[in-house]
Amino acid sequence: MKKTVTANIAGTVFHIEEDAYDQMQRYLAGIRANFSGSAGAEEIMGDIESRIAELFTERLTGRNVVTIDDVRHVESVMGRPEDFAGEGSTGVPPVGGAIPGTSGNATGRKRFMRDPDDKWLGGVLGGLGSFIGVDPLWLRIGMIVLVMASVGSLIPIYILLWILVPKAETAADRLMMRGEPVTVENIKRVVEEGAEKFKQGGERWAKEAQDLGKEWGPRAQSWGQGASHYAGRAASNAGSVVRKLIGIVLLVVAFGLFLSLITGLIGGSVSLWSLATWNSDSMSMLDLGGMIFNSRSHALWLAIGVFVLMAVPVIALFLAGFRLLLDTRAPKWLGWTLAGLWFSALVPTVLAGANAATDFRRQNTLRSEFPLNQPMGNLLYLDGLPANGIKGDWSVGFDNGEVDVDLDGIYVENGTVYGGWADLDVATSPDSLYHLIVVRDARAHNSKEALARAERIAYDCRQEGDVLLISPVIRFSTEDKLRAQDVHFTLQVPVGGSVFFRPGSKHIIYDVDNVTNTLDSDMIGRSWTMTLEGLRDTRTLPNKPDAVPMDSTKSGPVAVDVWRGPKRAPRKPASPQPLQVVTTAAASGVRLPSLLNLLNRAVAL
Amino acid sequence: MNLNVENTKAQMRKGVLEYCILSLLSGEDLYPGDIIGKLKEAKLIVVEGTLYPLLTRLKDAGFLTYRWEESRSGPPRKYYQLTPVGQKFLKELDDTWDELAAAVKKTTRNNP
Repeated sequence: MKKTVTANIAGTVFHIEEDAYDQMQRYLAGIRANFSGSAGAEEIMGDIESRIAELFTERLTGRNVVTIDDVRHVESVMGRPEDFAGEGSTGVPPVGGAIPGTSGNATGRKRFMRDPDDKWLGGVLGGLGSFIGVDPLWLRIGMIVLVMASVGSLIPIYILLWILVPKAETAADRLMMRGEPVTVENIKRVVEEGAEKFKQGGERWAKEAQDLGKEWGPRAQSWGQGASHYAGRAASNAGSVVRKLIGIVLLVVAFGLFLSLITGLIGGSVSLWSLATWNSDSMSMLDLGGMIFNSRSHALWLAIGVFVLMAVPVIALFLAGFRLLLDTRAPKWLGWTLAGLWFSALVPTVLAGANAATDFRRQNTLRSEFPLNQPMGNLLYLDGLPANGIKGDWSVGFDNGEVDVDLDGIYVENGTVYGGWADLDVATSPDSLYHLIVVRDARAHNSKEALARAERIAYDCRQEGDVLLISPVIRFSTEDKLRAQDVHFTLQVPVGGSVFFRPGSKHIIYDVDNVTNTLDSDMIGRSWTMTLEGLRDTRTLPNKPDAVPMDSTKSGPVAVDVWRGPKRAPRKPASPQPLQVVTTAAASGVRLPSLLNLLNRAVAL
Repeated sequence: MNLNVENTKAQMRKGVLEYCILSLLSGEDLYPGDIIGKLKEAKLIVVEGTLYPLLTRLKDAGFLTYRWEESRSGPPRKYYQLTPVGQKFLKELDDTWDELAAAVKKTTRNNP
């Protein structure tokens, strides 16, 4: 007794024995694989099915059920699937390239194709798994980890592959994807694996295998031919190994560039953005860019342009790498689009860049003197003003355990730019008086405009008795944009005169020359006397022991009260009050000019 | 070498197959079963499967059309017939074949 299956072939209903049905299905799938992709495949299949129905009808005189013999008869009349494409069409290969049948046999050359049966998204990793022989699950886990590690920068690459890599749509495609020759046995297997399976025991399998052996025994020859074909190709494979190696190198380089592009984009904007933030208010990159370039839109265009100019070659590298390694071909539109994109980015970038550059062309300097009242006792106290006009907290960081205020930054509010760029140096006075020289710099497209810009820079400076207070922050209108505006103070100290650096001055002094080459941060909290050689620590002067109170007997009201040893001196009100600050001893960190400040200085050079 | 001989034969057959099909259809309308019968008789094809793609191609090229006809012994049949374009094409093929046959004859005879 045998089970039968009812099948509709070209409109006629047949009862087919189960094994005959399986055979029939494989046969039709094999034929279909040969026509896949060619025009009129459906019509040809329809015609063939009609003919098969006719053949069955002819043979079924007096019988009701189609048996495996009938199917074999049909196969012998119609021919093997390989013959269909082989003899019938004039060399039009089925999609995928490998032509089974007439000339030799399709060897098991693997192709990288997307696997529609094993996919989460586009089947890229499923296909890659088949291609390199790794379980796609591992690839997926790796991909997820990498995506997270690379902040999603792998995602565009995945999409690129999705576009580039063809989908394995037919059974023949799938075989090629797995690198198995497109033969009837294999197509049969694929169909079996994929299509609805009739559950059969191992016994049936064995029987089937025997049947197969009998029927397609001659096909085994083609396997041998395939093998020799392979050997012949080994020589030409040497060249392809080099190609693949180059492909890998290209991909690695492209990926490195891509990562740096992404991290540069993210990191650059984050660091600049945080620099641009002094308090809870924030300034967008665009605002900043708008002040460097001639307008916000200029800045935006330039940023986009530069990004595209860098990204397009990276994508091209990827395409080249994939092409060499995996033999994928970019669709033509992609190449044209990329080329078009690159050239269309070139023009606005160059224009916006040139436009901004012309406004940096000329520098001018405005020199003025801030009138000083000469200090009593030949000692001037230098202190910093709190960043005037800036509300909220300054950015605060810890440096050697000491609270440090970073003023290298830029802050914009109500149309005014605040920049912590002013600095002060100490020089010998040409006469016997203290002078404060203020030098303001700016750039513009011509000298006159540069001078006007320099003049519009505001700085904060005032004198209270013997204390000179200077803010490290300079101000100018956003209308003036960032044009390397800078203010340098020079405190001219007469020979024999002294200057005491209060803690607040540490943000304003910059690279103050002295005979002992003491770092700025170590000059704080001490008195320095101008000698003929230059500034010298007052304590080291033999003939002026009492010039400055250095004996820790005095402490100003603003002094930071720190444990200074077992002996604690009583406080006396004193005027002027030098600040005895012990904490400064710990401030050994060198002040690093920020990126923006460096940029500003570099442009000013 | 056996393979190449088979291949050459197949190529030769392939070239004339279209011509023969068009010729068969110039006399009367036929359905694939008839065509196959005649071609098999002439030993031009061995298996039927090869015919279907050919017919579809000739039809798509505009040389053939078909009409459906009911059959008592199975599904409806496609009866193919030549279009005017097909007839013209066949005429050209006839001429070409005559020239070719003459040329081949001459060449092969002249060669000892």
